[in-house]
Amino acid sequence: MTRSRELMLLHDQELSAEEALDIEASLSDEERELLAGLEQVGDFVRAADQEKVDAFSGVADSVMAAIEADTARAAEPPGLRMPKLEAANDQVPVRARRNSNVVWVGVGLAAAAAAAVWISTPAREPPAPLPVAAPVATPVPSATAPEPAPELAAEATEDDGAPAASIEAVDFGNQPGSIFMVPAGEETTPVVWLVDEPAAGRIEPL
Amino acid sequence: MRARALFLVAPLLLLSLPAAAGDDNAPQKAPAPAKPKDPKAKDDKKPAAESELATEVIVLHATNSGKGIDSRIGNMPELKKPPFSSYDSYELLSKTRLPLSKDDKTMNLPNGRVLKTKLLEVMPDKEHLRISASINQPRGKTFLPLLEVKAKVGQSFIVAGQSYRRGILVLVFRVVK
Repeated sequence: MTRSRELMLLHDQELSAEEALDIEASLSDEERELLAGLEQVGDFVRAADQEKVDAFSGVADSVMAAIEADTARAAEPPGLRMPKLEAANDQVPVRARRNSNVVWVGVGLAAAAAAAVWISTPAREPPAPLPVAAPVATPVPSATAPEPAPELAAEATEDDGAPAASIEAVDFGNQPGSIFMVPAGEETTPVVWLVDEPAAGRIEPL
Repeated sequence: MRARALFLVAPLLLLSLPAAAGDDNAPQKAPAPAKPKDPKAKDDKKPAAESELATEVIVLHATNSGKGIDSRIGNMPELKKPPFSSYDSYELLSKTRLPLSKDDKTMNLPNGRVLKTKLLEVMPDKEHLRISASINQPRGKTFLPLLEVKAKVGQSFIVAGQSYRRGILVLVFRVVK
């Protein structure tokens, strides 16, 4: 054991009486001054920390008091405990109420979203009837005949001035063809142009 | 935790409501497209003039042989308009009168195909009628399977484009009495 450790044990009074007497007998003046200084530092620390120690002991007392109070409540008859439980329930449902509020807010948002989707969805319109006849638009056929349209109907409306014969239905079969109108004086004449094979009906550049 | 689960599930449930409600108004099957007029509709009222009606079929041969338009063709302004004007020569090959009836009437074309015409219907005004035409290949293949035309007496329509001897055939149909 070192000398400094013996001095500390002596200061803390952790040595036996015999050991303490031996060490005290062998103390030099310098060691006695060191022990005196340690005593002074200890006094200072204890004085400065007293308030915290008191406060700590106050918390411990309040905890113990609360435990004792709970114990006392548990010992009371049920009839007397009911109001206290209700009072306790007043504390507990706060969180439940918060959860309930969250749910209702969510439901409200969902309802608003559903309403928005419902409103933004375009109303279903009654299906438009398929056109039965397509009016012939251009009197000049293209050099490349369009795709053959089975049962394609082309009808010139009689409101277009001079009524003409009208193509009501045509099936070009496997070869392409086109329908157009050619002016003929005051009237127009419908033309069905077939593209034949192998020497296809050629339309020279106009 | 339960509250969170509800928060997630509730929007899904509510969003599904419109869809569920919409099922009642689910897009109904599109109605079948209007059927075209029955080409085989029978004209119960058999007009007395039906037997007098006929289709005059004028067969022209269009080429670029420099011969000009055959004088027998008569006045046919369509031949001077595009695309017919791309041919400088038109020769009259035949002029055939096919009586209009509800039975098929046929004629042979110069290219060996067979033209078939048929009266479909005489309109109530007795002036317009619907006729059908088709052109068949020599070996049974159909070249022009179907053509239905509504025309008035005196009006004409043209079927052109069949290749024939370095040119094309131009069939001019005219309803005549």
